[in-house]
Amino acid sequence: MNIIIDVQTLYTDEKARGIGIFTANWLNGIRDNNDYNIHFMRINNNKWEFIANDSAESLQNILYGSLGKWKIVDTITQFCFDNDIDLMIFTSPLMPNIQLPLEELPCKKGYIVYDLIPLVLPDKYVNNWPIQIKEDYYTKLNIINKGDLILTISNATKNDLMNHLSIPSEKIFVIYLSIKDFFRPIDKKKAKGELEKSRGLTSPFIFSITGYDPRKNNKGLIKALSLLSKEFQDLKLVILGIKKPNDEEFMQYARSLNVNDKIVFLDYVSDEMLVTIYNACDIFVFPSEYEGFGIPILEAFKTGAPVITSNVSSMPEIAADGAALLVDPSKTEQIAEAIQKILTDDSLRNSLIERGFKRSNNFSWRNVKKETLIAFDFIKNKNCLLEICEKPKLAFFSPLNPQQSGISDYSEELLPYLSKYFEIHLFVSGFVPSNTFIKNNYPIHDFSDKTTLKILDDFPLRLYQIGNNELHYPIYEALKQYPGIIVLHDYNLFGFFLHLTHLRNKSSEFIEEMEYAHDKEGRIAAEKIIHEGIFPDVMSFPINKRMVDCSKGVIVHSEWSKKELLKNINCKMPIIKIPQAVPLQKLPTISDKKRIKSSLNLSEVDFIIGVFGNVTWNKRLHAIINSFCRLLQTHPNSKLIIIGNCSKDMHTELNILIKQNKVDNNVRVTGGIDFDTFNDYIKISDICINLRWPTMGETSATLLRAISFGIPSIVSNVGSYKEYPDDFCWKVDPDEYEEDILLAYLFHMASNQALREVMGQYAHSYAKRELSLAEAAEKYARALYYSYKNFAR
Amino acid sequence: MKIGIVTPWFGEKVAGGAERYAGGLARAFSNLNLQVEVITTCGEDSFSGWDHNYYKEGVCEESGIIVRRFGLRKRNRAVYDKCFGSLIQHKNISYVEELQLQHETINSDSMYKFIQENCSDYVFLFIPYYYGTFVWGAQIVPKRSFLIPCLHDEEIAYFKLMRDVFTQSCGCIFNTEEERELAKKIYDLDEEFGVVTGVGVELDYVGEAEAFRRKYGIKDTYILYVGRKVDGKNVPMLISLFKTLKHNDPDNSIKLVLIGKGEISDNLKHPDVIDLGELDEKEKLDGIAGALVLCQPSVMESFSLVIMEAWLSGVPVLVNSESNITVSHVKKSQGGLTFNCYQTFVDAITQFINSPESRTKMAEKGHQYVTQNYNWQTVTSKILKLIRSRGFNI
Repeated sequence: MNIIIDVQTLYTDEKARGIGIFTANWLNGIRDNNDYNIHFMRINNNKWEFIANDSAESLQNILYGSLGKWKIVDTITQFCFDNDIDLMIFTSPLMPNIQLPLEELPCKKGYIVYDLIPLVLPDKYVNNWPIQIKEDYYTKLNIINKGDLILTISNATKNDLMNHLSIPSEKIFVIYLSIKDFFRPIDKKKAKGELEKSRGLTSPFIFSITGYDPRKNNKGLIKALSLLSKEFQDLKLVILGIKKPNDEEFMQYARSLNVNDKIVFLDYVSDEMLVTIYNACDIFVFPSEYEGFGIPILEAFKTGAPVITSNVSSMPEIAADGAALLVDPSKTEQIAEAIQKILTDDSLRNSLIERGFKRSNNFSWRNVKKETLIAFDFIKNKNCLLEICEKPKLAFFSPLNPQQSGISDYSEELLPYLSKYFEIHLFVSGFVPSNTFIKNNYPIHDFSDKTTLKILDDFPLRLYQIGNNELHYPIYEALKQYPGIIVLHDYNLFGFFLHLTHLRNKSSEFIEEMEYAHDKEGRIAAEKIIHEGIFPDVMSFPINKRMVDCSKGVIVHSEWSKKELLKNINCKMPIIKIPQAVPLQKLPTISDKKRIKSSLNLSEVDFIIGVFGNVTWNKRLHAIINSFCRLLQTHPNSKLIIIGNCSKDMHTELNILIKQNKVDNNVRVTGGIDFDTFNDYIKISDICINLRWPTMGETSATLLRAISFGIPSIVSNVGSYKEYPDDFCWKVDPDEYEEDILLAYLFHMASNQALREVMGQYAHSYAKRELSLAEAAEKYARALYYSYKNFAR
Repeated sequence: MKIGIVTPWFGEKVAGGAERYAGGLARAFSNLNLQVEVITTCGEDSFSGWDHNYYKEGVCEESGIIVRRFGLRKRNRAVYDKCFGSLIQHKNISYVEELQLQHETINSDSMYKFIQENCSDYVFLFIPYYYGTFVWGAQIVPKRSFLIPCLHDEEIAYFKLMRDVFTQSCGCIFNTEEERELAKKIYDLDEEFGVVTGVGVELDYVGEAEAFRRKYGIKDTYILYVGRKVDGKNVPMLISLFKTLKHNDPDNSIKLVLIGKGEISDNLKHPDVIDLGELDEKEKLDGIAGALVLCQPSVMESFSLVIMEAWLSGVPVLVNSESNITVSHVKKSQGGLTFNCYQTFVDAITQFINSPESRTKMAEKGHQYVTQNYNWQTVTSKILKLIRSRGFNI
């Protein structure tokens, strides 16, 4: 599971205080778990930044010593899509200086909530706050309310979350807190002596950690002291946590009760001194009116101080099992009485110390980690990304068989997996799908009658498969009318737009399209094409801007396409990479190959080089045939098989080339063939060549099919082809050395069967790992879900 | 786990140093009770057609060693000649030509299939570097392949293809420190990549000079050359130097005796150059025992076994000072002299004739050098240490 943890807290003043210390300890507990791949997130100069966790590195070094290594992103959404983030955790969402992303994110959201005190005690807090802060707080509560997971630190706070925000119980996980081992019992006499020496504090004294906040009940405590001042004339009260001059208010109150000489205010002490004070005190009193947890109670338990605390909110829960005397914080007599009991009853005192210490053992970092991981597993086990009771309707636009296209095959293979998440309706223009499964399992709407498209008003989700041929014209028209998410199979739709406009006598529209995509330069290039027949380097004039602008989200199949789009188009929505997927095939056995070869009239000993897919010159057929002829000099058993749709003209030209080179007996051009025979040719290929230049940034479905059959490949070292591992996919630059390098590769592969087998195994495992249709469908669901949440309303 | 020693040719008749090394090593491993096989082709030797099957395909036992022979692949001689022609004319040859050249040397598809299908039972030692069996064989399972290249400083050693073979394999076994330095220089190999083991040289027969003289009617003092009579070994140069000596000193009765395969061109022939052709092992050692000096003019030696045999037979050597490897042997042992021109050649011969005591002392020092450094026990233990260090349990 991939998790982002927001660490803004650790860049605020809280870093050295309770929440900051907890956050750092909590992170250290969970970040060494291999099941979770963690990224940290912070905000810096108004930009979100990310860094990957490195378990071998200290948290300190990662967060504060990784200058320049933080990745700045434009949107969190893009980062989530790029890294397949499942869960994002905000560690202190309600703190005023912590920002929460307002946009809908394509992942689960979790929040650590320490308390809801401002909401529970509105008259003391939110009702008195400036309007802006109040609104901000409520906005954050709303965001938290929609969260998928809440981690909180006591059942009391869990109840508050349920009662005040109506958050369902099952989403809330109590992880409790822990403290440093540093808090421990030491020699009491020594502690007392040290305190007297360094601070002039003499026993007996009551110790309390409070703060200026009225909720902390300082006055109640001072009043309780005053009630005991006659009986215990030497008794003092030491209050830690109130900064000067705020202590003056309480001192004045003490004066009014004539106990001002018995009170000592400390605003800050070191950890060592704190442990000394806990150990030296006679009683620790924590009479707060409301807490989310009450860390000082735990500290007192650990250091062996007898504790008196309130019987409200989280405090009785933390001090359960009779570990402390519980009092009503609003009743000072009860506080005084409890103090008096402990001061006069040694056995009670000792019993409280013992039970407190025992109770403290329930709160360990190990437990915090364990409970957190249980909460993460809760998210992990929600295997369906969508928590929508009914599957949303999805309008699916794509060529389908009998329309011959790699995208037809792709869609038909993807649809059954996508059905897990959506109620899918297929939209076709003027044909009936030939695939029986598809025909029988999906509602089909023929939108050649444009009025049919009106029903799209009822489809919040629309997915358009976009390729570079005429089959996509009607799809494009529908997209313009009813925007949705597009799957850009080719980065550059130059051919598509050229055919749609200029070659259909709509040259002015072509000029317009080029200008839309490339401003003035585009117009000039388009005019040259139209008026002079001079084509520019089409790769320098990618056309896709209009298509992207029409859409509500873009899915591409390669990192290359994604980067090019991000670079060239000012795109507001995320560009989502979903690797093109294919069904995983079984590796063909030797006997399979023998049988198929025989049925295809090929000899068992023939070394088969396959070139698959539509036959076009940009597949570098000249280079392939020239290299192949040279290979034949040393490897006469080689056969070159060119399989796929081939125009008549293309076929004629190819035949001339083959005859000129006198390799008729070793080259076969099949033309368009049925799908099964096509797959048979892949199965018997020893290697597959899939060169491409110029490229439109496409992903080759036939290459992926070959990879899934475990066939080693040679591809052009361009565009998306570069992304396939060298382990099974060797790369050739389309330059002056292309033929020589291709021949050298062919030579090695032809001469080394062991090499081909190893490459084949790598290819097959890659397909298993990276090209899974089920995973692709899940990514589609995530992308569409995101789109649904953002645009459906 | 078996040790498979892969060599292009193997048999009693094969006189090449590398091939004889393969046999010696196989016997030495066998003596240690290790499972060892020689994996070779059906070819006769480097002089016979490289696609002509002389031996029958199959497994047999030769001199106590299991030998697997595999049929040879047909060659496209035209492609080979074109590429080799470019090579000997020192033209730049492309990577593709390197591949083509190696593809058309000596290769056996059935041997490669055997290596691939049975690789899990073996570690392979490929020897020597020059041929297809080394280049293609070692690329099949590089992670189980060790190289005994017997490397020379020549064009083929600088092939990019050769670099691939060296850098992908498990490690190298070198005959000499100089050979290792050469490999390191050409292929940027790490220090740890290989070991220098030397070659085991042990004679189980002491040559009889008189028997040799009697059989071939040689009464006079003679300089001896043993090896293939090819240009690459500088044999024509040696004959020319000898002929000049005879021309300058016609009364000198000294002879030059040549033992080994190959022809010498007519223009090099001379009444005092006695070419005995290929002799069996015993006669060769008889010939060495009777020589004034064994001359090794070649600079293409990775070790030079015959020098060691001369020393073990009580004969000093004369080597070409251009050869780092043979010069190193001579310097370290003080078992002979070097020459770099006609004058130094003549001076050396004169010294051997006129100072029999110093000649005998050199021979003794050479003998000591061989027995101390080049015995099979040392060689096999170093090779086994390397193989084991790569995780193979032998």
